[in-house]
Amino acid sequence: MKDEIRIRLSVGLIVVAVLHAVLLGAVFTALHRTPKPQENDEWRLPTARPVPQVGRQIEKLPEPAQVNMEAQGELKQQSGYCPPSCPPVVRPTIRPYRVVPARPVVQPATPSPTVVPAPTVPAPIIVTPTNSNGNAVPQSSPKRYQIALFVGNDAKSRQLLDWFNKNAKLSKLRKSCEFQVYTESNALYKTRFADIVPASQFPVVLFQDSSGGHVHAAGYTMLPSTPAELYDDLRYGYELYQQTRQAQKTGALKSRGYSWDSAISPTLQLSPEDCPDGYCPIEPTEPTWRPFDRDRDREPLFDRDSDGRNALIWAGAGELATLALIVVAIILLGFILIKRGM
Amino acid sequence: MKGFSRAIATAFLLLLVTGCLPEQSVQVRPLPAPPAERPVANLPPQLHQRNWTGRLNQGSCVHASLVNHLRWLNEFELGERWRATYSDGEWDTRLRNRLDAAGIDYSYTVKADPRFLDWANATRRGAILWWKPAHCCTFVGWVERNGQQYAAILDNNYPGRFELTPREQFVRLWAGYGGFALTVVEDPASSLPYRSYEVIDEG
Repeated sequence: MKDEIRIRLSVGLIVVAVLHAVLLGAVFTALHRTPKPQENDEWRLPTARPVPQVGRQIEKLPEPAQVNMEAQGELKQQSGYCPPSCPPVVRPTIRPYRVVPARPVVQPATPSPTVVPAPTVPAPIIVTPTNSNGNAVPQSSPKRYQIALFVGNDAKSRQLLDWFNKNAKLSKLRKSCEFQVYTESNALYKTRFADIVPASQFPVVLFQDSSGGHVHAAGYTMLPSTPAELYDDLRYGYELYQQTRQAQKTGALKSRGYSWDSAISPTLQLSPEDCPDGYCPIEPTEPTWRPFDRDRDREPLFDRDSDGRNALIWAGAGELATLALIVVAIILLGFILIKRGM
Repeated sequence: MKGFSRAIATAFLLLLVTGCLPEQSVQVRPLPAPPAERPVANLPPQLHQRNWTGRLNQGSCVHASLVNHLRWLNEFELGERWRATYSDGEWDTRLRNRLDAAGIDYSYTVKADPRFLDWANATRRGAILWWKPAHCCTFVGWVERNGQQYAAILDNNYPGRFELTPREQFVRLWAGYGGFALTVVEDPASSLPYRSYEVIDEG
């Protein structure tokens, strides 16, 4: 009798173990399923949009009514505007400084030339603009993230633009970020981005922080086939990016040279005497996070649960597997106890 | 026995209401950020619009400055249309009327308020402003140099370079020139991208 029970139990255990293995396999396959990049054989390299011909007719803007061109000329002569042929850099004749009232003062159309002793104004420093591709980061801006689309004339590019216009989630995300669209013929693209984002990779989605630090970038074959997948990809990139920021914020990561001293040094306070002409220089802003700072800019771009799924408890795949094992163990134990007649 | 059945039922119930989170097995680390782009509205020299003479034989510095500003905002078509529509001298009220007529959103000051330029700098948009006698230029941001803050100006009479003037002096002179500045409220050109993090451990 005992042997029979043992055999039955062993068979039962084997069946349960096989069942468990199959279920676990199914769960992990479902979890680790990654969408394969959509290879579109019909996709061709995007051709540049036809460059506007020199001297083509440009549509004029709607002008305000009642513009008196003659009066404009008279005013212009009185105001002493310089045509480009005039020597443009001159020692300026400064009018006495005005006390600026609180109410907005409209600049008079005919400024009266007041003759005052000309103060000596040192010549400005001249610098040549450089476009150091890939080596430059601008300062932070109120919108903390930027999305740039680099598109061609192909169907995939049009689809990408449609997604950001029509898909509710992507459209919402677009509004939360600085958003720009560049084509291969765009002058800013040619001068700033051509070396970084080659046209052969178009269409490209570039999701970056306000300094240009990439959050997610995908182009051409890496673009998913649905807007929902793209949104999920952007969210995943955002989570990875946030992970690096969390490490920096908590000081867990030392590679950025986190300095406790500089983080807790008091902010410079300016007294009225420090402010020439009543204009205080901007107080230094510390872009880095300080201990005990409130997470004021941490309003998440993405909802935590964007799929509308609901659950009482959230568990990772490993935790789920453990839970399943515990349940199986309880069932087995119960089975044994029942068979023993308890 | 009943208690045991209840426990099993509860365990099943808990399992049913448990959601599955995606695995966070990817480890990432931040990469060093390159130096900041200065000035913030770093319009490439090839796109600097030079001042031109209008039909009334006057300079069109205000319009040239606005075209430079619009180009930085990636509004090239609008800039070309503006250039085709307007030229010669300009003053602030009429400029605003014309912007209104074209349906362009903008923000402005006539009080030489440096906080306006701070905002234009922080939003990376830049601005156009009265700078130099009877002249208009494009403010492209504040620049730190040797511990001092300078205003970087793109003068449409000298395209291809920026002129730097110390902040205090700049604000003082700007007030003397009328204190007008205007920014079109559109998103600026995207920042130059760089790789901000890398995956160090996956799986």
